[in-house]
Amino acid sequence: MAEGTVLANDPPTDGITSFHWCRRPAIVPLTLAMMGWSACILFALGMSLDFTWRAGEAGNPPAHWPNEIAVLQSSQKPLVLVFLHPQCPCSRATLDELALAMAHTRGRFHYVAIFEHPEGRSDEWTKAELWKRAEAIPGLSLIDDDHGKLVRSVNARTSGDTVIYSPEGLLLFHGGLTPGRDHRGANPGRAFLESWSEKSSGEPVTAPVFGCPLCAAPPVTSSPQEECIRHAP
Amino acid sequence: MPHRIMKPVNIAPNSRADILFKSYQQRIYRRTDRMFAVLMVIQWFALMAAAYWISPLTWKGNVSHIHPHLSLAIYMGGALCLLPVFLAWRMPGQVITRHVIGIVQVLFSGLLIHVTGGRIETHFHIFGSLAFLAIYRDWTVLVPATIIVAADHFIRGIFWPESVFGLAAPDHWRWIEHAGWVLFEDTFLIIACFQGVADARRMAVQTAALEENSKWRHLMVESSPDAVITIDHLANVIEWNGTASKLFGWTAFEVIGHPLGAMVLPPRHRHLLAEKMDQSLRSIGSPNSIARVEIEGTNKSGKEFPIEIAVSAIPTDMGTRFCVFIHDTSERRQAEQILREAKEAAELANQAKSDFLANMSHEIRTPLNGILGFTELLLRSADRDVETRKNFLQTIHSSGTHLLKLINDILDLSKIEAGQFVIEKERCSPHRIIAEAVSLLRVRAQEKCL
Repeated sequence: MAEGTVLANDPPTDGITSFHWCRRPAIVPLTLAMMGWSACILFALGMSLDFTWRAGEAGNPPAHWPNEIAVLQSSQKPLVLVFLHPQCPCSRATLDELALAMAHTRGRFHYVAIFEHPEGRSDEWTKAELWKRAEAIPGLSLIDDDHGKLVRSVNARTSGDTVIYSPEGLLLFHGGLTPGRDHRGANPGRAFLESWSEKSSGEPVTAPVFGCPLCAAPPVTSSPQEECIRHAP
Repeated sequence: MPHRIMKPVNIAPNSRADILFKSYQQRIYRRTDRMFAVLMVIQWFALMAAAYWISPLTWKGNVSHIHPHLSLAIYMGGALCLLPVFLAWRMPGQVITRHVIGIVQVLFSGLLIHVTGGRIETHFHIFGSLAFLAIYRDWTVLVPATIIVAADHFIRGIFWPESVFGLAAPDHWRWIEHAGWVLFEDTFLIIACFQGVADARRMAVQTAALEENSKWRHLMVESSPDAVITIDHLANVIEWNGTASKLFGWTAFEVIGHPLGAMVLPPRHRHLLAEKMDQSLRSIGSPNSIARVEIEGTNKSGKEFPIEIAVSAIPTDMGTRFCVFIHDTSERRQAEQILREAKEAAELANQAKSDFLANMSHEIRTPLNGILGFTELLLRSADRDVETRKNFLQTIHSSGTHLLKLINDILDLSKIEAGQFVIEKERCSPHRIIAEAVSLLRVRAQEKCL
């Protein structure tokens, strides 16, 4: 096509005044459609943000570590326990933040990641992508919590729930390591780890936890075993 | 530098250049709208794929459900696509279409960042999107997109600073720093937009001028009184003007692509065309680069008529072409013939006059000499006798009379030639006139045996 040719089906050249849909009858439905569309987008956005910002159910760990936890202590360092649902995609962010905290607090804590292994699930289900991700973090101990015993011992409810006990077994911190579901960034858990010193004292610090509900954390009205058995595939 | 970058190109409103420029712009807008419509759909599928790969399921204990991110990718991604794709389909090239596309594109960036968990790498999508939006060459499209990015960082800075700055308590101006990087890119994109528009305007002006020249050249060729024909190096016709059609009877459609010689020359002259082409080619650039020849041409019905052919070789990027000018010389030859005949007649008349004067010279000199001679004798010989002097006077008288008659005849002849001869009608005897003429010429006729 020769340069300069104005095609027969070229639209009118003025993009503003030739806006033929601006004629009075057409602009009203178009405006209404755009308003409806915007409302749908905002609604979906709101739902998304609600999912991201909504914290999981807070657990209730004992103020002094239970025996099941005490046996995990292998040094005179505070014990950091991170409870994880093996299939929770949002916990990737938790592991990333954990790795960052471990790098910033090298050698000051004993870190353990506890993967819940519900009854009826295979080892492959438990040791999936998240397990492999945790294995790659140097210095992190991994535990396959068969039947969720350890989860129940500290009453952890949500994947990413982190419990920190002093070398004497006193609860120092309980909460999450992310600012939102599957979101990395500054968070109270990492801030606690990075700022903790042996001279710190006071009430345990808490923070919201963002992740999938753990299997060993049943609803208030039913027992954990009944819930897992009812929902097991 | 900015002055040189943004030097305006003035175009008169509603001129041909203005129409061309707006047409270029519209084509860019429509083409970019279509590109973004396709890109939106691709992004939607990519978003769903990313959500499915990163977080396909969410778990509630031992039970899995579709992850909200995947639902978000499917439904919100589809909803985001819907309006820009519809506008690009039904209203391509319109202002509202590209502004909606600009806004939706950055919303897609935000959605992608959200689905990927705030990955820093995903933020490159924003900068890439702004660069794509600059393809419109409309800097205003970047404005709402930039405002949305800045507002998002400002609002997150207030309500959820960890999600965007990685800090629980960032500096209050941190959002400005982030927006500043976007504005940094915008600056160069806006400059590129202005440059693109200026280039388009310049191209429109040049194209309009070329069109005007082409139109003028076409009119000149069509209004030429001679046949103007363009042929290639094989003498095949490329262009054929209206005068050529009138002269030879062939239409342009009938001759284009065919050898010129076969269409306009009799077989005996066809070799001359190639000779003249070669002659012109060899003398390109010289004052004698136009090779001419006068021969006979033939029209569509086979009738021959005189023509003059002038061939001029023109080197072009597409190879050498030849411009052939053919002039019908019939009228000129007729005029030449008339002039030639008139010249011959004039020469004959001139010759006749010379012969006449040569003849008359003797006839006039003879009685004049007689008059002068006998007059001189009378003057010299005053003592001669009366009889002799009477004879001399008689001779002078008769010579004078003869000379007068001769001069009268010559004047009458001039009057006849000038058309001023007056004929007087009077009675006369034709027999007597004939008898006098016969007696006058009898002696000489007998001498010549006539």
